[in-house]
Order: sequence, then C-alpha cells, then structure tokens
Amino acid sequence: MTTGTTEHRLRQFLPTLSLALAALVDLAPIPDAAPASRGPDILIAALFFWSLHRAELVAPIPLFALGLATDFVAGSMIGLTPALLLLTREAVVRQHKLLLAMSWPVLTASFASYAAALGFLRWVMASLMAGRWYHPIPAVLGVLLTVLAWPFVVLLLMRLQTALPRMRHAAGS
Amino acid sequence: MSRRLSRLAVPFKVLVDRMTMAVLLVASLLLLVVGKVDLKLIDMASNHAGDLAAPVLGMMAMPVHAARGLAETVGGMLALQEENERLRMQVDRLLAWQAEAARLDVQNRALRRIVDMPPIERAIPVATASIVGDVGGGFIQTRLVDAGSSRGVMVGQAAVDARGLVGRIVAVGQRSARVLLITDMSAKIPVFVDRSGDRALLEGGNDRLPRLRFLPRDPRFALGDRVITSGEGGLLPAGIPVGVISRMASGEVDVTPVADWERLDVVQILRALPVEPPEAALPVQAASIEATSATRLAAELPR
Repeated sequence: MTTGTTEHRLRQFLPTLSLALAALVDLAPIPDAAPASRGPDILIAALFFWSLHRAELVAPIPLFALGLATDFVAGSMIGLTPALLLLTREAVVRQHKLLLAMSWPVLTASFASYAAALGFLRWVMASLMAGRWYHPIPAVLGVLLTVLAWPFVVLLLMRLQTALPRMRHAAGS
Repeated sequence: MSRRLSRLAVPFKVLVDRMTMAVLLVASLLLLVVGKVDLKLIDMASNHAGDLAAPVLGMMAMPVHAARGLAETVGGMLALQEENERLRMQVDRLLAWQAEAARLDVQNRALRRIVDMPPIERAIPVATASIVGDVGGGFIQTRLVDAGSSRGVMVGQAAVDARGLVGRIVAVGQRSARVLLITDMSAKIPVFVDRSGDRALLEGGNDRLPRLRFLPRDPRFALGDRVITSGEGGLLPAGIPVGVISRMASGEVDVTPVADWERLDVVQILRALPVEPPEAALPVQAASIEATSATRLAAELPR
C-alpha cells in the first residue's frame, strides 16, 4: 500500500464514513418500540473509539458537518450534536494516553461515565431549550443502551481499523 | 532545514487543530441560540435535509421491515388454525357492525335532509407514507415519513394508522414530512369522549400515556370509554379514534392510544385541509351576503 494512492485516500475516509453510517443508524426507526423509547447512541460510541485510536482521521470540520447534518435531519436543536461531537473528540484526544493504558473493563467504565455525563448534558440542554424538564427515564435508558452497544461497536470498528493506513497520531496530543 | 521544518509542522498542526476546534465549538453554540429564533432559513434547511435523508433511511429500514414481515409470516403459519378461528369470529362481529353502520348512515342522511344540513364529505383523500426515521433527538417525539408536498402533504394534516390517530404533520419538505406523535409533550389535540360527549384537550407527556386536560366540571365518562377527535379549531377532522380511557386517579385521566406503535411502519396522511377560521372567511361571506341582499332588494324594488 503506497501513500497518495486513491485507495489510501479512500481508506482515510473510512472513520468518517463509519461515523456517517452510525448517525444514520441512530436516526433509523426502532422496531417494536413504544413512542417514548430510546435507542443507543451509536455515533458517540463510534466517535469515542476513533478519537481514541485514530483521531488524526476524524478531523473537526467533517465532524462539525456531520453533526450539523444530523441535527437538520432530526429537526431538533441545531448545533447541539456538532457541539457534543466536538467535545467528545476533544475530551478523548486530551486523555488518549491515559485511556489507551487502561484495561478493557476500566476503559468500558470510563466510556460509561462519559456517556452518562453526555446524556445528562443532552437532557439538561434539551430541557433548557424547551423551557421545561423532560422525563429523565428515556435519557437514562439511552445511556444504558449506549453502554451495552459499546462492545459491539468496538468489535466492528476494530475490524475496520485493520484496513486503515498506519499514520502518526498527530491530533492534539 | 527540511528536518527543522517538519519538526515545526507537528506543533503547528496541533495549534491549527485546536483553533479549528474552538471556532467550531463557538459556531455550534451560536447555532443553538440562532436555531431557537425559529428562522425560516433553518426550517427550509431542515426540510431539505429530511428530503435528502428520507430515501437513504428508507433503504436502511427495508431489511427491518422485511425481517418483521418474515417473522409475522412464519408466526402466522404456525398459528394458522387459531388465526383462522379468530378471523371468523371477527368477520361475524364486523358484519353485524356493517349492518348497524349502514342503518345509521341511512338514518343520518334522512335527519340531515330534515334539518337542511350539508352532506358529510366522504372519503378524505389520503397519502400513504412509510416511516423512515425516528428523529427528534430522543426528546421530541417525531417520525420522518417519505411523503411530502409533492404528494399533497401539508402542515396540520392528521397521520393515522389502521387503528387511529398517530400524530399530525408539523414540517413538510418536498419528499418528506415530520409527524409529531400524540404522545409528545407539545402535542395538544381537542377530543371528546364518545359515550359521554365530554370535551377535553389531549396532552402528551413524552411517555406512553397522554392525558386529558381542561375537563368539564362534572365529567360523565368512565374507564374504557373511547376518545375521538372533536375537530374543534378545525385543525384535525372530527371522529378519528385516538384512544381509550385507561386510568383515572387524583384528577389525572390517562388515555391509552389506539395506534399500534409496535407495527408502525406505514401511516396514512389525511389530506383534508384544516378548516379556515371564521375571521378569514368572514369578509368573503359578508360580501357575498351583501351582494345577494342587494340583488334581492333590486329585484323587489318597484321600478
């Protein structure tokens, strides 16, 4: 595999493409669900993984564009998803050495704490924007489902990662 | 020289990366504030994004629908005899209802003729649409459907499934639309209770059971009574089944929606236009009445 080839460049886009796919999965209707139910936040799980392992391939501008597109399709608070995606990338990149040194259970626990904090932030922001407090149970359920989905997302993206070109970790660390 | 330049390039890239990140974060927060202002441009962009995403989301939903269809077919085959028996009983019951409906229809027409009421408009045109997206960010209960203004869908129209009301259209693109479910916090639907005739407002609470608000002082309804749209305000057509009163406790009246959320793949959008408020129709009517009176007066006046 030589650098500069079309294949090499296409592979560099794999993380962004996988994030776009994750966003679409998040937006797809949940089968057999009551209207109040929540699905897992696959996009955040995938972004956490890529920011940890290949942050240089998840540039802020495509991330911002993806978050904005998600908000426009969802028709919800425009700007919230880009802000949360950028915050996630920044938080993981700043702690990536520490996170990489962790064992799998501790890393999962760290992800769970982060997903819970993000879920709380999303709930507070949504409530503030709506001017009333939303019921917290669907948000808690969403966080739990995200944590449950985390091992599967990692398993899937680890396989994808093997197809990526090796590059230096240059983003922010 | 080149080694020194490459040594400088990494911190420079990190700096650019961090500055970009900061600028984009500020832009996101600004968008959050601007988005709250309800700009027409943001609505348009949102509708266009829905149009673009609807076919892709529709394709993604296809395997889910196919798997569910297959599971139902297999399940149906396994319980064929039981299903057959159940359907026979249902057909018998429905035939009795059909006869009753036909009788009431004849009676209704006759009564309408007596009191000189215009006939009820039959067969509201519908647009059938697939639900392709569970949008709204988890807090707003909306669904994206793959039918938009190109198929006559307009804001305010009702979305129903085979059993009853699902929600109403709140945003329309050319090929997609958003349905605000009746269970959403901001959904408020004028309804009346079928048996007692009590009028109320059905309000969603972002949970499974919407509640009845603004009840009359001495309500006469009971558990199990059907709740249907009243058509008040002219927003939704009257008579659409909404739910059944399932809980009454300490002034709270919960309604279990009749919509089948578990199999909500397809909805029908009732393309009935919302009734115009009297203020809008008044000048035209007044002008028409004045013209008629003038004509009559002219005819009656001696020449």
